[in-house]
Amino acid sequence: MAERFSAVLQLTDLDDFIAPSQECIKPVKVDTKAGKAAAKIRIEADGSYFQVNQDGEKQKLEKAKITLNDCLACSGCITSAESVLVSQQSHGELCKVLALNKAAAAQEQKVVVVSVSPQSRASLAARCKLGLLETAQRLTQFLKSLGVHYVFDTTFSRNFSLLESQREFVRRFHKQAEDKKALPMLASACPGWICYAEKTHGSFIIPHISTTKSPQQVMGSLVKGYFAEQQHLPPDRIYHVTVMPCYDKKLEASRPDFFNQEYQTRDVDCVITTGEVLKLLEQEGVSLSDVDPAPLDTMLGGAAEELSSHRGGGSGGFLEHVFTHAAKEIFGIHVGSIHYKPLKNKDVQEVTLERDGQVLLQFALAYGFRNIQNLVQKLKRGKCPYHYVEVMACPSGCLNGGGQIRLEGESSKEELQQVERLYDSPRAEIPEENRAVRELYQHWLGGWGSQRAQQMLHTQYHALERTNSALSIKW
Amino acid sequence: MPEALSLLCRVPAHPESRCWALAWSPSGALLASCGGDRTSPRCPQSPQCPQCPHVPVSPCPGVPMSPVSPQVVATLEGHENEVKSVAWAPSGTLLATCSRDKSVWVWEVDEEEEEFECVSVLSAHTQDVKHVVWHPSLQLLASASYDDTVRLYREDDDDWLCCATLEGHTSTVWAVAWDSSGHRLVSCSDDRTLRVWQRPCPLPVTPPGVPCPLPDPVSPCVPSCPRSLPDPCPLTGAVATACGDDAVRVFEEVTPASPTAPVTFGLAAHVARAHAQDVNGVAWHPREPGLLATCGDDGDIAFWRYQRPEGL
Repeated sequence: MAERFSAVLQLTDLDDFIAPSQECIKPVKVDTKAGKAAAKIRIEADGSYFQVNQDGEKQKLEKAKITLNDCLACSGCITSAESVLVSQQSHGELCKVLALNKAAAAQEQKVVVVSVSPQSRASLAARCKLGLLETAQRLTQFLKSLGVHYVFDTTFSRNFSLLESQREFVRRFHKQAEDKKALPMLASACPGWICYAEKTHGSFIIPHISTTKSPQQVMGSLVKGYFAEQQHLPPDRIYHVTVMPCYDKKLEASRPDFFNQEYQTRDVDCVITTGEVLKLLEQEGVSLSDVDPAPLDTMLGGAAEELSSHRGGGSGGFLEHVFTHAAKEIFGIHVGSIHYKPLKNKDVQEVTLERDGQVLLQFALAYGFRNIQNLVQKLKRGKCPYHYVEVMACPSGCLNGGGQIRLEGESSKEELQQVERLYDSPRAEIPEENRAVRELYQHWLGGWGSQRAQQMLHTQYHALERTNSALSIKW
Repeated sequence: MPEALSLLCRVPAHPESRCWALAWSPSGALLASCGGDRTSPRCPQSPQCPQCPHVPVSPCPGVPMSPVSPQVVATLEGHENEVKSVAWAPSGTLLATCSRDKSVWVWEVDEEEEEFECVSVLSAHTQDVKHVVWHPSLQLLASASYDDTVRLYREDDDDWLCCATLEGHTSTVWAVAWDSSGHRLVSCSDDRTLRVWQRPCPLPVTPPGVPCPLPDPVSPCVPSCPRSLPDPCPLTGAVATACGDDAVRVFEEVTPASPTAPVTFGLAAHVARAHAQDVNGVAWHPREPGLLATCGDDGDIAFWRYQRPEGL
């Protein structure tokens, strides 16, 4: 199970590829009572433990219990927590929820919403040999046939992530003189990278990470906030599923920061990967090309006629949008096309804005663990020349995520190129020009930079102290 | 005999920790050491990384005989746990490390800039990686692990990949070494066998499980210290050993009484308390005859001058 997560997460800990409760290192508080020195411990046939004193008195011993929360709060082993999480967030779990929902009384039924990422859609289209729009329409129909009520596209919520990242960068750029950690700003959309940063470099790196929520979590806020209000439903009456190219997104959805205490519900209840959607199709014995196309849902009502995308590559285009916006906003320079300069390898590239030979902005993208490593070391030595870095845990970025479908008989390079072509096929939209986004900012969030926008579109990070338990040392 | 091996200087390279292994760069300009701090005072600012494994690289004490005090020129961070072994590629432009975190890392070296960049993180092994060693002429890397396998890696496009897994040992593989031609690889294991593997097709040429009792009978101290192989000096032929009894010893081939008599080695130097604790590694300087570096559980690196005693 562990190998499905990005390499960054797998490497973060070592003694850890274990199942829950098997070799947990979480120190357990033991109430010691002063008493007789000698006692025997006997194991009964049913597996319970009894302490037998010298005078023959028996006392049942308590078992140490480790909860999921203990697991998540512990830096010891990500994999024990994740194996629990994976069972909580799987296509099997989705099927269970849909079945329960059908059987439930009308007033207890939940509205099931699925938000599909554009990376997953491209991977499915490549696998099913369909166009992107067709894939979206047929997938919508398929999900609805299972009992899903609405199918949205996270390209919509990504508009908010991009806009907030742009504004956050300009804000940080202007205060770089007084705040040494304002720059470089590091992208926050990749949960594998965030988890690694929190566990391994904690308070040193966290101030650099953009506070903007990822497209998945913005979608969570929109669905359980705006959409719930529109439907006159409390957030816990909506079951929100996302389809993602990446297993690490399951961990992101489970973060306490995205849990609504008041309604005891998560912004995203369940994350399934692209591969799991394929399993779902196989399980139902359905081929996507045989499903009738259905109109695409939009959050503000009405059907979408076409799909859209964003410029700047398969990981969301964060660098490109922030770069273009900053060039215009800070230096008044209009950037037409962006030139990426590859460095040591294809997963680390540089983009520079110059005027009269002077470097105004220097951005980079760093994908994959080795490049993240070099970036962090450069930062530590004060030798990082960049203003902004688009960091992603997977080599080649999100289109190559661990949850994507691997095509049969195709070399991984050709396969990825095919998915990239499909991904780039729709019209590229400009977030500032999206009317629905503007309307939501104006009427629902209360304007740019409002407190509500801050609350709905930004998050925070937590440095994890490592548990230094002698028990964790394995030879 | 003590004067045969005299201490030049001692560097606390891995304070409050162990130093597991040493490797001179091919030019002899840099010495790489590796170890792992459990409670490292060197990084008090980062409680998130109490392991703080690092590979400091010290410049050579250098020519001539009296070394200037060696200094750490770079600390390579990134491994999540103790770094067990370190090796320079023959070209001197690449460095490999391996760790208890199950990974093997390849670093690119810019000797002038004293910059080290990670070019690959290889997670092929499923357990603790014990030893890494480069092919004598090709850019081919071999690693030995607690998962009972040896793995080979080569460069592919702009990354590295595991190109072969040598399976057969039934217990931990402690170390690997290439023959000088690079056609054969020998591995030694806790299953009490050596296996010889031949390129290009990685098949064992010895039948599986040929008993070849370790350790090497030549060096009497190795039994207590199976994790380090004796190091014969390429320049003088003297063999240095690291030992669990805190001692460093040097052996020399004794001129045989008659041409038909078997080759024997005699003890040429013995420093009983070379380190405060177990000695883990020995490395002869590649260019300067008789310059020896040693490291141990005390976290120190010691530099020695060896001179073959008269009348041996």
